[in-house]
Amino acid sequence: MSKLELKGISKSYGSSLIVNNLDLEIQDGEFLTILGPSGCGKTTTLRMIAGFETPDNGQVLLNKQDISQLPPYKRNVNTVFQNYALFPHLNVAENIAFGLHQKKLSKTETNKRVDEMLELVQMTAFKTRKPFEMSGGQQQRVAIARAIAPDPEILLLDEPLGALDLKLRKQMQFELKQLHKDLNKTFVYVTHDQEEALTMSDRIAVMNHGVIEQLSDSQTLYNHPKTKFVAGFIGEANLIPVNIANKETFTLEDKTFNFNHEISDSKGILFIRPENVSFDTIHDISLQVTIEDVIFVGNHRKYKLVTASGQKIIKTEDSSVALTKIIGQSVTIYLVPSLIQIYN
Amino acid sequence: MKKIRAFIISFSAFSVLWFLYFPIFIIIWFSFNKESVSSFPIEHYSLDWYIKLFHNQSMINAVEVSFIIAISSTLAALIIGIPSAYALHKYNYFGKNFLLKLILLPITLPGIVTGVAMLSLFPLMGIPLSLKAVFIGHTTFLIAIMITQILARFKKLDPYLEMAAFDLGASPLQAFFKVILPNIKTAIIGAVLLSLVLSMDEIPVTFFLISRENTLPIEIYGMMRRGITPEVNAVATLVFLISSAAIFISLKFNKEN
Repeated sequence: MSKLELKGISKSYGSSLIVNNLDLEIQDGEFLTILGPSGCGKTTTLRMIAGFETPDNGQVLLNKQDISQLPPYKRNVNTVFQNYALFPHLNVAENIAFGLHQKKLSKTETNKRVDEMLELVQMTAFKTRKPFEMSGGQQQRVAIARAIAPDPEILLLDEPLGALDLKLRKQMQFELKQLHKDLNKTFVYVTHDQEEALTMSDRIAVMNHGVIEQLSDSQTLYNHPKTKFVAGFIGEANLIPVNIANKETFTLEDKTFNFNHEISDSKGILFIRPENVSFDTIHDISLQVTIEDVIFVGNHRKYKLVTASGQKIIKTEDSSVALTKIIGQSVTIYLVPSLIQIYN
Repeated sequence: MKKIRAFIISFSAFSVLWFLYFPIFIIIWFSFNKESVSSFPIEHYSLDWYIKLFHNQSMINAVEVSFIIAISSTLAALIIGIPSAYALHKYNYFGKNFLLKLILLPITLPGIVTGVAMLSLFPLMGIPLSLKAVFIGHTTFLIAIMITQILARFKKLDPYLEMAAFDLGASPLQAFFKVILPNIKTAIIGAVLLSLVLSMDEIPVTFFLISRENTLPIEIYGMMRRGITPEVNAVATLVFLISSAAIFISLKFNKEN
């Protein structure tokens, strides 16, 4: 069942169109991430769900009800802000109770719920602390507890881990994922960090220039990016210019290969992940290259390859595989056809 | 080289402090002089002038008037100043910067100009020279003080706090009283104390608008015309102590957060 539906929403500031006729359906209980570079319109989209912005066109439907014109305080959705935005004059328990007071819960109910929330985010010991007496990670836990306490229909998270250091961010990713599982609540998460998105989400909506370029689960997104932008934004990718004569072949380095695609232009961009470039698994699509450099990157090694025409290609392989190639050596590489895409 | 520079810096700092505070120190000292002539050496110390001061009815009236004016104009400036500062902070509209400069002008404008201007205008508006006129005069420049102090705090306030309040179900009015106000409280207290002191000390605007009743500074000024009596020293000492205490507290509150 769809929990939240964005129907053709647009938003512009002055003459710049930030969100362009965007459609998005979010399922009940789903962890959906809106991923994109800064300025792609992801935060504006989240703000239109929260009610901080009103769309110029289109509808925001929550449980099939149009809420697009409601102010934020009349929407049953709560936000976790990137900078936490905890109320500095209130302590941890009072911060969490804020939304409950607004809902006019009785004192005993409020106290019970606050204690529940404190336990959920493991902050019971910090109950009477003021925000400035806590670290960033602790403040973030309180911010999450405060947003969940009023039991919103949807929890919105606006780059909530952006201000934390790498190690803490990894741990919080894991905890948020666990929290999502335990609460069985719909999460809409906004981030520019593709790794974070891949790790946590049920589905990812990749946004660019105000539109969703692709909406799919992590694996599909990684292995079969629909557009050149998605291919380049998620993970590492080789994007190689090719010539096209018909829809059954393409030409690379003066060699023509059989490959079915949808491109009608005379030029295209071939996409292949560095780990899908192979030295020894033989496929039809092969190229002669020279090894320019080999770089050791911890768990994998990276080959910088160059074709006769000067096209650079990256290949990676597990560092546990024995290194048999040397710099300057000429080798044949094979591209796995099922993991190739061709874009305009 | 470094030593010479340090010497020059500390020498000039001490000279400035000396010029500022030595006369005040002398006044405080003389206020305890038993003799009515201010001259060294002081032979007998006493609190006579303070006792005399507390029996001076016109002085007591002046203090009363000053308090009434200071409190009422501060209150009026507060009521006008907080919403104005909020609007100036939150909304963008045509001519906002110009408006802000216009509001700040009374701070930089010589009091004498404001005083003369009001002196010519108020009778035309049917406001006679009176404490009412003084109240309006003080309120106008206190609004400027109030708005600058509170606006400065608004600018430091995290805009996400208000958003978080809305997000958790607070209406704009509830958000203002439950979240914004508690977080600008210290700035308000500071601005109030500063306003009280400024109103208490104000001469030029008051001078033009006052009728029969005197405020404290005008009363002191009147006493001075009959020659410096140690009673003036005693008043000055008290005014100095109260003002510095208020300024000190106001600075402390403004530093918080």
